Amino acid sequence: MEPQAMRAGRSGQFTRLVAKDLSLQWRNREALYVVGLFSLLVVLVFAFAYGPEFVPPGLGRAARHGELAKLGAAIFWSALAFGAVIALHRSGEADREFGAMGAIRLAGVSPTAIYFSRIVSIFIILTAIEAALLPAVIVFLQVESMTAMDVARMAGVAALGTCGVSTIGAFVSTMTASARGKESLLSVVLLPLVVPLLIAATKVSVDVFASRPISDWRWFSLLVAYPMLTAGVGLALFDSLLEE
Amino acid sequence: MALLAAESVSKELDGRLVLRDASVELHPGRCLALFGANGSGKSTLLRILATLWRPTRGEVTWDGKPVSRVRATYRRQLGYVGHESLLYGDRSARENLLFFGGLYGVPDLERRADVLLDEVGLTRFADIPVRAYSRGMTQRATLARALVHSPRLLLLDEPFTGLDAAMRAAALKRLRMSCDEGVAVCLVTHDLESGYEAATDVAFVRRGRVEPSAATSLEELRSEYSGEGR
Repeated sequence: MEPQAMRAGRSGQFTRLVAKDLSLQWRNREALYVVGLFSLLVVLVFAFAYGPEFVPPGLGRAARHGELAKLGAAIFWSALAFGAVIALHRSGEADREFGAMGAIRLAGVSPTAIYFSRIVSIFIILTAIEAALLPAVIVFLQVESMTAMDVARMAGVAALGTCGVSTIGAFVSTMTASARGKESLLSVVLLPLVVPLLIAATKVSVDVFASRPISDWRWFSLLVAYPMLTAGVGLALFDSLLEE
Repeated sequence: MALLAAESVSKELDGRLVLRDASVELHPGRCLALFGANGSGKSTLLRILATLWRPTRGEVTWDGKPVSRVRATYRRQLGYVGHESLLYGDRSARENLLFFGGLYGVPDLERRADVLLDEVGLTRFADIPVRAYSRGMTQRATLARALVHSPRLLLLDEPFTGLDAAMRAAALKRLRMSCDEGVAVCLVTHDLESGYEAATDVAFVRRGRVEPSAATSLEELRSEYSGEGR
């Protein structure tokens, strides 16, 4: 028997955890601004270094769009990867600082709810960064061939890629949270693990930026499978990660 | 039957045996005060009882069932005060209470938070981020957090640290009230007077073992305690 008439359903606990993560991030939004600005800076630096002028003038319209699409996809995902590492350093910091994660565990919240709440809050934060990044890539690289449908397709691809970064990022950032030198350890562990995802996301994004159908469905399959695989592994191991 | 029982619990940390076959029983309405020298294993025992650490050997049972099997249910019925506050520094005491109380599904939570804030004397500072609190204020907020869900078991590691005389008296009163309501309490402290005043049972943790105290008065307890750690 539990004391009083208490019952916080799993969905209620999950919602509270996500709301808590987001409100804490919002209170420290200066750090989010830094992440957003850093990602935009990456886009700007690449855009001005290798921007539209980089494309040889003799190319036809389709070939020119193809070159810009390659550049746009590469820059978008590089900027997001760097931004994600910084954002992941930040996420969960409040849980660690005074040991509040211990109180969450003692409240009987399931590891599944904790893991998924972290995935969702990281996903929302990264999506906010992407919302600034994508227009910047389109404008500064002058990928003007993109239609509204292409932008919607790119949003879908970005959502899949972000989902993958969130599932692996929530796990790795929790794993490295209490380790010595956690800042460098997170990058060292996370970046090799997201390489397959980034390659797949970039390959698919090239087609979307170039306004053409997806040419190789194997990359798209990897983009879909990656979040499911990493979430499955994360779910299986998250309990032992949280406990001693 | 004991509400919570640890049987022959041992814990090895970095190759050193911190707890050696420690056994302890907690009963509803009783307060066990554990005294002992630094490094004797008191906090380790409390962390194991709170399921924050796993014992290397031995077993902890709740209502006769191993806590490893009823972990989530058990955890929801204990209130824990440790060395860390387990609070969010960027949130106020009220926000912390509302958040953690919400995780437990505490009914009429706003009112419950107000009552607790009043009890620990934080009403005036309820909306200031915990990060800006003094040590004593943080400890009061920590006590309120541990009590928000009206637990059946309280595990308190140095709960009087940083409290002024008035607040210490209020905390003692609250502990006695909890015991009267049938809560089982385990208290780890170096504060002999407060611990003795709160306790119905007294024990010492010596080199990782729990040994009942023979003291029948505060003076005898002081005399017994003075030999610790030598």
